[in-house]
Amino acid sequence: MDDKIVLKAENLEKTFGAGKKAVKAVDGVSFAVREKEIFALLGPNGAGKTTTVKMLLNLVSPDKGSIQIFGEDMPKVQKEVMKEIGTLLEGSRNLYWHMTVRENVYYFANLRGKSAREVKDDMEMWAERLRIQDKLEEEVGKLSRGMQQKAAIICALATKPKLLILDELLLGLDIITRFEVEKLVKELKEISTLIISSHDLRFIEKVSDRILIINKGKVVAEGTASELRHKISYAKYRFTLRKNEESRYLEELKSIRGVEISFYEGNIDTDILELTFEKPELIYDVFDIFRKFSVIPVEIDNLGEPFEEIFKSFVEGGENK
Amino acid sequence: MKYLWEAELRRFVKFIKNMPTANLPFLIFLYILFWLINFSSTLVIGNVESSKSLTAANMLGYVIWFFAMFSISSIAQNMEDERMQGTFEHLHLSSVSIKSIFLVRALIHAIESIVIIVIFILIVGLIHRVVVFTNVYSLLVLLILLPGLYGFAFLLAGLVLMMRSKEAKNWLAILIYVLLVPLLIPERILSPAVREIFSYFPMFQSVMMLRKLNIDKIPLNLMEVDFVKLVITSILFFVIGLLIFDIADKKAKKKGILGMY
Repeated sequence: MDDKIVLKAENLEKTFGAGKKAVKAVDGVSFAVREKEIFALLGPNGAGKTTTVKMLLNLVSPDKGSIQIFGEDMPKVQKEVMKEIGTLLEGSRNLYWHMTVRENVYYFANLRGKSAREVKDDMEMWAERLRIQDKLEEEVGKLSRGMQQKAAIICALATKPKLLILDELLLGLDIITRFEVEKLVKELKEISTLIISSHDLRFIEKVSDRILIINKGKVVAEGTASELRHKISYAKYRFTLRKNEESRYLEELKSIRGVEISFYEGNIDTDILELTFEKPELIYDVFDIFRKFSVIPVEIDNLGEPFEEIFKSFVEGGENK
Repeated sequence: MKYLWEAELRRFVKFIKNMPTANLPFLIFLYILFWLINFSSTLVIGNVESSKSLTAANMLGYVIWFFAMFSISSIAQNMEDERMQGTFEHLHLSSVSIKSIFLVRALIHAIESIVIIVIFILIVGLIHRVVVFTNVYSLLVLLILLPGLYGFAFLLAGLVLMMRSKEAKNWLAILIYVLLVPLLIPERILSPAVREIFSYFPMFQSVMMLRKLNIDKIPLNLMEVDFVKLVITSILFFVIGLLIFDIADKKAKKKGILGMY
């Protein structure tokens, strides 16, 4: 992967209110986003994701910290930098409801220094991809929530931005469109760098190159989905074993430090066993015992942990588990 | 900046397409309001020598009041509406400044306000048999007033931007209506001291100048001091308005209240 840094945020801090009512929304958040990567911001409601995104876009001024986009200090060069950024903001109206989709795309492209002619082809291409081509001449206010979201996505993409910041882009989308957007996001990586935030953990896990988990304004974890999995979850396997005698091997398994039997079902000639390993290499000790007692593993399943559980562990302070 | 005009003109065309049905009731409202003001001023001033010159004087004040309200509407009111909807934040994500966007919008909407006021002047002229603008230099006065009006609108937009409470905003709107009422009062009923104070506000100064030009038939070259005062105060209001808007915008970003949706 190209290591060129597109966006760098250092030690961002933001407190809203003063005195007893003061709320620290963001507390020392730092991260860097590399070129052509999909970087995800993840966190529960009120974690500080949207405030962080708004600070990146200079819609909220940080109390402390610095932001660099394309190597330039924000907000000094904001106007120039905005030509290269496509955005989708959560909760706000991304478009004018009394204008058609086409008019909205042209309007916001114009405000980003692009002519209607420059964005026309791209707009039509994305509209076709998102199956909204027949809605281009309709007023946005008359469209469904999902269609409005699609129109906003087209608006963000039509200017061919080098950096896309998409806050809750799956909001209001149906299942089929979600899959299409998922595919689209992966393809966009070829032409753009993406910062995304979403509550959909499955989506984030599938599309992101790196994930930053924020909770109560602080970074609690950062890494690829598999790195986060390794940090938080123990290796967990289900074995189906063929045995010749009584299950005496179980006593020896229990004696290995760092291996826990979390499930056992014994039959006449087969056992089903679920083992949790503190360290993945402990599996060799287990195989030694299997050999010693002539137990043959006929099936091994890696159980892992659902990403939701990993996320929950981090948010609930499970990083030190 | 190159495409900002294109963007705002396209938006304006869309807006104007929906307007014809709304313009007729608006013109009727404007006339009823004017009739009430004209009638009230006749009651206050009494039987004047020429009711036509009183109507013309009222009309000139009314034109400036209308322009002031239109500027406030296209900058301060428009900004607040967008803020409540959530599109105001998106305008901040442009490669042009937020001030430029609203200034271009206001200039484009000025075309609409001119069309409305010209139709209105013709209607009033026909009904009351008065000619309001007789001196071509009136246009110059109106043109010089424009930065002052926009400065005033930006100043208000800045104040609104710093306010969270809806009540405070409502009170501000009422205050503005009250502050602009003197535009509708013939200045001859005001004391010289009050007139002097008002002359430092471009809206009032321009009304006084328009009345001198069109009713008292005083040529512009005999109003050098008034003219210079209008130019200076108009530019000053414009600069102060933009400065206050800038400060308010920064404060709103600090408080995180750019969007109030």
